[in-house]
Amino acid sequence: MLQLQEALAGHEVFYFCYEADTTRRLDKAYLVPNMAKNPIEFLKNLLRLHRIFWRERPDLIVSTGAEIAIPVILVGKLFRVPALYIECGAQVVRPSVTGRVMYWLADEFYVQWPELLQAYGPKARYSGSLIDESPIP
Amino acid sequence: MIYVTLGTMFLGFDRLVEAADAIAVDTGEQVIVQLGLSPRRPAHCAWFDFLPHASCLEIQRHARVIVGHAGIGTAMDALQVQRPFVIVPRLKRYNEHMNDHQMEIAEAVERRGWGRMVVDMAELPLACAVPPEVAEGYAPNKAPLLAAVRKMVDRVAEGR
Repeated sequence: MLQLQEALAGHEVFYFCYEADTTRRLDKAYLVPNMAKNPIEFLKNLLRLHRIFWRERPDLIVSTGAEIAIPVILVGKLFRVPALYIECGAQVVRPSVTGRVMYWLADEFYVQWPELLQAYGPKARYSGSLIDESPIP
Repeated sequence: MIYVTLGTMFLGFDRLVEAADAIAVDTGEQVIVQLGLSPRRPAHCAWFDFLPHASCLEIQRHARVIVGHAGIGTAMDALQVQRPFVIVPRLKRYNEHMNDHQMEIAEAVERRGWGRMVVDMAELPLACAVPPEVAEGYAPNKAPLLAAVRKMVDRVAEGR
């Protein structure tokens, strides 16, 4: 996510992410416990995000996953906030579970390996990568 | 020096720690292991759990070979420092990861000619003795992805 920062320059940015040593260093971040597949944390996140969206009024959601992106985009739908999703670079051939959900919900959807395009529908695009050197087909 | 890195995964990777120990004993070469949360300590290697990212990169720049688990961050670091890279996927069947997506990453690294994949630890000593070639001039194709994000940001900003 931090490697995408320059594309967001000039705009006010806040993060919603898991508590970790790396995320505690972010300028403006809402940190929550790792929810993984815990349904209680998922519901708590929906409520937290509802309050956060009310306060922050974001204009755009940008996410590279993981599952924490799902409550964010759901609350985003409620507030009519568009979303751009970039599949994590760790998914080379097979999609992530989060990616499969985000494919249906995100307004723009990118993968970071051209190999992964065959696993998704026509909405998925390869437009460069933070990892791969492959040119755009 | 051989630098072995297990990333930040919460599961152990004993097979690689044992293999690193064996290489240190058999060759006498210095082996430094970044263990992360992997519980088993090597007996014959220098090791640490975590260091700041910049320090990890500094050690890797001095490595003759980098042996990394097949995490995407690990792969990106190894490619960035331009040292010979041997990539060893964590496997689900040994409870080293939740699934086998590290196989996909390791295979992609080998397919791109960025390093050599080792799945069977018996092959690791040879892969370290005769390391793969460095992916000279490795440069990820970042610009169009950043441009795509920027384009959507601008479009949203205009319509506000």
